[in-house]
Amino acid sequence: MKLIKKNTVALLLVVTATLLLLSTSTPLWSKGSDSKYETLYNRFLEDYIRVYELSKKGVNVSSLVSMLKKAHEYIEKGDYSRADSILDNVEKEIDRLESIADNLMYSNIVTRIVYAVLILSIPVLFYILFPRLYLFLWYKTRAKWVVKKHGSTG
Amino acid sequence: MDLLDREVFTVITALVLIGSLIALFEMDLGWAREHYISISLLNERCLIGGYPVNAYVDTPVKLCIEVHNELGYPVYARIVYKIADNTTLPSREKPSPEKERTVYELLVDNGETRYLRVNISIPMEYAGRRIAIVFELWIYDPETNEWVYTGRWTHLFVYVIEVPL
Repeated sequence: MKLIKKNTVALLLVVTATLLLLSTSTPLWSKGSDSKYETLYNRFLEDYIRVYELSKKGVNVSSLVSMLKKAHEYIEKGDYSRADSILDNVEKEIDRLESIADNLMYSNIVTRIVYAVLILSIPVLFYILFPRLYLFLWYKTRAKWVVKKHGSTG
Repeated sequence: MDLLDREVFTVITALVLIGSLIALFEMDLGWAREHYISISLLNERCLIGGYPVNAYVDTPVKLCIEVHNELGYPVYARIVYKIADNTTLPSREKPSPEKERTVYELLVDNGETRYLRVNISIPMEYAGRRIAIVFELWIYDPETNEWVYTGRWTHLFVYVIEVPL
């Protein structure tokens, strides 16, 4: 009976020590031992690379980055189901954006060039049009003026 | 004032020209921006100043790290905590040769600043010594799939005190 009790105490001590060791281990330590973690972390990295490539093409990726941040947070917390569903949504959105990324890139470039040309043409247009406009308005406001000779007796 | 007077017209045209150039540079054209990433050390309330001078063995030192990204794309950053001394501090070219103690990873969007509160502990072996708490900034390079040291780091010198039992 005493032997059984001793064994039980020893077993309890071993279990407690193992649990303590696991609870105090650093996140880096646990990364290597958890296959679900590794799978999700690698998926997160792959998605990040795709988001990076989209951003290089000039696509606005702010919402994707916010979602990836959330997914990363859940992966680190160990809430894998939530992380998984967020990554699913991220991948759907990436697929959609990738299909239109090239068009978006070209339209972005064209829009920027058009804006730049428009802004640069303002001083030129001002130089050419302002004197004409000013003279036109000057004439319009004074069109009905009558020249009156000073000192005439009629 | 006659707006068509030669001098007045020249001044107005110059103002319009300068305004247009400012507007052009304010546009995000890509070439007018400096690309950089930075790391800063803040106190436990994420403010500048009030840093600890002493640290106690096995007692958490509370600090805050600020990372700001202006590289033009979202960055997956890694902050590596190391304990160094005067001879093993990192440089612009090389990270510290000391071992990594804790690694923190965070995603930072372009133009974003993120704050990370950290609780670090200092082991008994450093008791009675003046050490540098080092945080190095690494980023994940999506082109090579490797972590790259940015040449940016921050450190804080503290004197380690052993708490008497």
